[in-house]
Amino acid sequence: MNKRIHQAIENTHAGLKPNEFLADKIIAEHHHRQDEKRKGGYWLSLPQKAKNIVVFALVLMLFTVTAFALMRPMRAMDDGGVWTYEEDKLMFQRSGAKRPQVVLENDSIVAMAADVDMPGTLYYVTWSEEGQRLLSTTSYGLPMTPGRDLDISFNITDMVAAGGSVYAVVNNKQIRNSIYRISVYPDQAEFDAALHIEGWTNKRVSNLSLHGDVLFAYRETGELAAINLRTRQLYCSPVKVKGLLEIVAGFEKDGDQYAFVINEEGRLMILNARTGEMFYSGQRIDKNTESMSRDETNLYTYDFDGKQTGCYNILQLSGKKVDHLLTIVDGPHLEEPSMAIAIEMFNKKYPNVEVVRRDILDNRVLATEMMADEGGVDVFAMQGMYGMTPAPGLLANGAIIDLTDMPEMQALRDDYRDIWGLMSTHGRQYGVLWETGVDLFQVNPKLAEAVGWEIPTGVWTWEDFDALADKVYAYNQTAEKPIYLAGENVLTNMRWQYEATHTDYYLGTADFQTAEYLALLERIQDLSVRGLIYIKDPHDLSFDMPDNTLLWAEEHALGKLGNDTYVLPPVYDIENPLFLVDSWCLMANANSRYPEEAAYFLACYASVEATSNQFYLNCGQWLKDKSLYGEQHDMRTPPSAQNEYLYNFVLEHGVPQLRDLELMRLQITEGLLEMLMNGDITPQEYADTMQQKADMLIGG
Amino acid sequence: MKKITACVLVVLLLTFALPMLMLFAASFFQGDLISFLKGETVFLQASWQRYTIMFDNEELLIQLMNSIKIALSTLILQLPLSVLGGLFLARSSIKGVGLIRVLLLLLLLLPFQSIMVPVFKMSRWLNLYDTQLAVILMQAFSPLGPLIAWLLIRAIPGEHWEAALLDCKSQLTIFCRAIMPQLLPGLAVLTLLCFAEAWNLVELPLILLPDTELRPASLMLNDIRSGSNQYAEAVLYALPILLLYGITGITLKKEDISIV
Amino acid sequence: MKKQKLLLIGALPLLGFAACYLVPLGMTVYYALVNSAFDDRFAGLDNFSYVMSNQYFQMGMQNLSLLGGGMILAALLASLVIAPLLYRHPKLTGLGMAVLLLPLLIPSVSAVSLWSAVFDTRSMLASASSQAALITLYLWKYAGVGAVLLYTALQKIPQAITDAAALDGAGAVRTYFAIRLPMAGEQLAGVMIFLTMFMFRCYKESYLLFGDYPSSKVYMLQHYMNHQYVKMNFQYVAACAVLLVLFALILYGAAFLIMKRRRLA
Repeated sequence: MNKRIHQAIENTHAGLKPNEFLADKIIAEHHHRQDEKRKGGYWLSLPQKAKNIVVFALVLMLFTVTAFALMRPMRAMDDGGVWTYEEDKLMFQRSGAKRPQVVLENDSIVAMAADVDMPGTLYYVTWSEEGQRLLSTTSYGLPMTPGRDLDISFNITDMVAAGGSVYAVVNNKQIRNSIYRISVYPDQAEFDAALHIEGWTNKRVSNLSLHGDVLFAYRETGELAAINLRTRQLYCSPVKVKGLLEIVAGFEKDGDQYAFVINEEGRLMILNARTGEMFYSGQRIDKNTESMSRDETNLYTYDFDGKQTGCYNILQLSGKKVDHLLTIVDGPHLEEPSMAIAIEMFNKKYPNVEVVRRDILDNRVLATEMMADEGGVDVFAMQGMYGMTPAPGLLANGAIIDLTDMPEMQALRDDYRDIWGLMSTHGRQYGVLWETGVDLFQVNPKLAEAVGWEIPTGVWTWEDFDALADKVYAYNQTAEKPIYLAGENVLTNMRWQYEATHTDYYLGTADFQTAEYLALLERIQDLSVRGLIYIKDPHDLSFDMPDNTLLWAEEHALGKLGNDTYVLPPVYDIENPLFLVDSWCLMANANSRYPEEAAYFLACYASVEATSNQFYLNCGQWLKDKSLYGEQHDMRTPPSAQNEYLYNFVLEHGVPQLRDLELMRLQITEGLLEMLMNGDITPQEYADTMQQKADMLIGG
Repeated sequence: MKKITACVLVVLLLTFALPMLMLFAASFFQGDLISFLKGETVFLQASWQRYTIMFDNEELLIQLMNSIKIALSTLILQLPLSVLGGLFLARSSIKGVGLIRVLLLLLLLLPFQSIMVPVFKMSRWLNLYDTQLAVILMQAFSPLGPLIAWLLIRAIPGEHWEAALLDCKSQLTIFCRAIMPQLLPGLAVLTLLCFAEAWNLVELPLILLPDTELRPASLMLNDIRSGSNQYAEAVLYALPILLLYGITGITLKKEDISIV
Repeated sequence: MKKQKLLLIGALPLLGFAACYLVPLGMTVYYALVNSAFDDRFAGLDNFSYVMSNQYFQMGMQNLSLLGGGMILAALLASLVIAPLLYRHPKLTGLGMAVLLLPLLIPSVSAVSLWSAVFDTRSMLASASSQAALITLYLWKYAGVGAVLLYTALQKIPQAITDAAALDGAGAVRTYFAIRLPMAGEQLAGVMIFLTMFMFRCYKESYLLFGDYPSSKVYMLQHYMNHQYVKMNFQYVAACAVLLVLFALILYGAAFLIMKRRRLA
C-alpha cells in the first residue's frame, strides 16, 4: 500500500469512530479488490446462459464491425470536392478541406456520379424496397431536382455525369453493359437512350471514365474508345488494349488523348488512346491499389477498402512542359464548356502555359495578393456586390487591365449583341462576361384581368406603376379577397435599379438627392402604408410567386421563364430605358506577371467559339446569331418567344448591378428601409443617410 | 470617510466586473438576455444549448486548437526574445538606442494595414506563406515584448548590477542569478500580455494563412456583427486567457506587480 | 560573459524586429512615394497632398485627435480616481487589481459581442450612442490598467513624506494632488504612453462594433486606411501611415521636451 495510506493510518483523529477514518476506508476497499481478484471476479459468478449471451453478442459485434470495415465505400469526385458513401452516409469533402462532412443519410444508394461540369453536384441512384430505382440530384448536400424513376430493370454498374446528363453502364436482360445517357430531369425521361457514336459499338462496356468532354469507354473485348461528348464523335478509332484493370481519363497532349491506366501487373501506365501505346508513368503506386479517381489537378489511388493510397500531380505525370501557370481566381471552373474551349484556344498560342484555378473568398486577401505583385492572381472574377470596390473603381485605380483597345476584343463587336455596357464603363472595357442574370417581373394574368390592367408588352415607367398601384388599391376596397400589388422583391429591384444607374464607381460619385430618388422612397413608403406589398416569411424558402400577388421580381435564368407571363421592370426614362443586370465579369490583374497572356485569355474566353458553348438558357443570348450556339443538351423548357425577347432586351439595355455591400447592409441589416416603411423616418432623411454613406464609400 | 471611499471603490469595481458577469450569464440562456434586460419582449430560457451546439461545430474546435498552438508557440519564442531585447535597450550605452525605443513605440501605434502588403510579399519571398510559422515569427518579434521588458529591467536599480558584479564577473550569471528573480513577477505580466496579443490576432492570419484549416478561431469569431449573439463562443474564447490569468494571479503577490 | 557579448546577444531579437517590421515599414514608405501598387512611377509628394486634402482623412484625423484625446483623458481621470482608492483600501486591492486587469485580457470579439447588444451601433446613426459605445469600451478595457500602474507608482512613494504632509495639516486630497501625483510624474507619463498606445489599437474594437464604414462621429483614421486598402489604393494607405508616424513623432517629441524641461527645473 502506498505512502498516502500509511500516512493516513499514522494520523490520529481523536473523537472519530474507526470506520470514519479515511485510512480505514482505503484499506477496506483495497482488501475488497484483492478478494475479488482471488475469487476470479464477476465473470465466474455469472450463470452459463448469461455467459453464452455475452459471448454471442461480442461475436456478433465483431462480425458487424468486420463487415462494415470490409464494405467498400463509394466515391465520386469533381472539381468541387470528393463525395464518399460509407456506412449509409453520404459525405462531401470540399476541395482544400481536410475532412469530409456528412451531407445526407441514406441507406440505399447503389450508384453515384459527380457532375464534372457542375462542381458540387452529385447524382445518385437509390433502390427502394419495392424495387424502384430513383435518380436524385444533390448540390453540396441540398436536394435539387425531384428524384425521377428509372426503368426498374436497369442495373447500373458504373456511371459518370456531365452537364445534367448521366452516362451509366446499364445491364438487364436486353441490354448487355451498354452506356445509356439518362436525363436527371423527371420530365425528360423520353430522352433516355443508349449512346450512339458512329464507329463504336456500345456493348459490353466494363469501365467508364469522364473528364471534361472526353469519355473513355473500355469494353470487355479490350477495345478502348475516347469519345468527344460535345460533338458525339470519336477522337480517333478505338484501339485494342488488353488487360487493363482500371482506367481514368487523363490529359490532352499534342492533339492526342491520354488515359491513366493500371495494367495487369498493377503498374500505373499512361495510354495513348489514338495509338494504343502504353508507357510507364514513372510513378510507383501502392501494390494494393484497386481504383483511381481524379480532379482537375491530381490523380488519386485507392485500395480495396476505399482508403486513399496515393495522390499524384497530373501535370507532372503527363510530362508536359510547363513554363509557368496562368492562375484564375474565383472564376468559372475549368470544366465548364466555354472554359474548356477558351483554354484550348489559349494553349494554341501559349502551349507551355498551364491554366489553373484557385479560390480566394476574402476581398482583403484578394486585394493584398493583387497589390503585392507576387503572382498567383492573373485573371479573376468579381461580382459587383462583395464589399470590394466594383470593377469600374478598380479600372480607375489602375488595378485591372483596360481591354478596350485589344484587337481581339474589337473584332468581337460584330458578333456580340450590344451588351458591352455590362463589361465597360465610360467607354472603357474592364472585363469579359462570365454570367449574367436578369430581373423580370412575373405577372399573375388572372389578377391582372381582375384588376383591369392591360399587361404591357414593352417598356413602361414608374409613373405607370404608380397608376397600377392605385388600381390595385381601388380593387382591394371592394374585393372579397384583397391582393398585393407586388412582392417585396419588386421594391428591392426598384432601389437597386436606381443605385446602379446613379452611382459611378469610375468617377467616384453618387447622387441620392434627386427628385427621382425621393419619389422612389415616397413610393415605397406609400405602398407599404397602403398594404400593397407582400412580405415573404423569412422561413419560407420557396421562390414561387404567391397566388395573391400581381407582380413578382426574381432573377431568372432564361431557361426558367417557360411560358409564364413576364413584363419588363418599369424605368425612369422611356426614351432611354435602363435595366438592372447582375453581371459577373472576368478581369485581368494589372499586376499579373503575364499581363499579355492574361488579357489574351480573356479574349479567348469572350471569343465566339467559347461563348457559343455557353448555356444561353442560363445567361441569355450574348451572340447575335443564335444558330452559333449549336445543340444545347439542356433539358429545360425553352422560353416563349416573348419572354426570350424581353430577356435579351434587358441585356441590351442593361447596366451592371454594381451595388455596394455596405449600402445593402445599411438598408437591410441596419434597418434603414424598415424605418422608412414603418414611417419612422422621412424619405429626405433616408436619402441624406444614403448620400452620406455613399460619399464615404464611393467618393472617399 | 473610509467607508464612503470603500463603497465608491466597490461600486467602481462592480462596474468593471459587470460586463464580464453579464457575458458569462448571457451565454447560459437561449434567447438574448441582454435584450431582455433592456426591456424587450424576448423568449428566454436557461440552457446549455449554446455550448453544446458550439461543441458540435468541428471547424470551430479545430480553429480553437490552432489558436492555442499559435499563441503558445509565439509565447515560447517571444518571452526570451523580449527579455534579451529589453536587456539591450536598458543596458546598452551605444548611440541610437533611444531612437530604437522610439521606433518600437511608433510601430506599436501603426495599424497593421500599413505594412500588410510588404509583410505578405516578404512571406512569399521566404517561402513562409500559408504556414503558421509566418504568423508565429511576426508576432514573436512584435515590438510590445521588448518595450515592456525594457520597462521592467529599467526599474531595477543600477546598484543591483554593480553589487552583483563584485561577486561575479559573468554578466550572464549576474543576469540569471541576481536580476531575473526580480523580473519574474513582471515577466508573468508580460506573459499575459503577449499571450493576449497572440490570442487576439486577426489581420495577420487572414493574410498569411489562406488555408482555413490553419487559421485561429479569432477569424471565425470576428464576424460578430452578424447579430447572432455569440455569447457562448465569446466566453469560450476568453477562457484560456482567464485560466492563464488565474494561474498567474495565484503565483503573484499584489506588490510584485511593478512594471513602471 | 562580458557586457558587450551579452548586449550583442540582446541585439539579435532587435534584428528580428527590424526584419519583421522595419523592412516592411521601409517598403511602405516606398509605396507612399510611387503612383500606386500597380504603377511604380515616382509620384513625389502627390499622395501626401491628396490624402491631406481628402475630407475623410481630415475627418479621421479630427476624430482621432478629439475623440481619441478625449478617451485618453477620460481614462486618465478614471485612473486618477481609482488608484488612490485602491491605495487607501489594501484589503480590496488584490481583488480590485484582478477585476481591473481582466478587461485588458478579454479578447475584443468577446467584449464586442456584449457591447453591440447593449448599444445601438448602427452606422447610420451619427449620434451619441456610437461614441458612447466606443468610449465606454475603451474605458472598460484600458482605464483599469492605468489605475493599476498608477497605484504601483503611489506605493513607491515613501510613507514618511505623506506623514510629514499630514503633520503639516494637509488632507488626503491635498496630499494626493500636491505631493503624490507630482512625485509619480514620470510614472504618470508612462501611463499616458500606454493609454495612447491602447487608443491607437482600439481600432479593432471600433471595427468590430461598427464595421468598415461607421458613422462620421466615430470614423477614425484607421477606417480611412482600411477603406483605401480594399480599394487597392495602397499608396494612400502608405501615405497615411507615414503621416501618422510623423504625427506620433511630433507628439512624442513634444512630450519628451516637456519632461526634459521639468527634470532640469
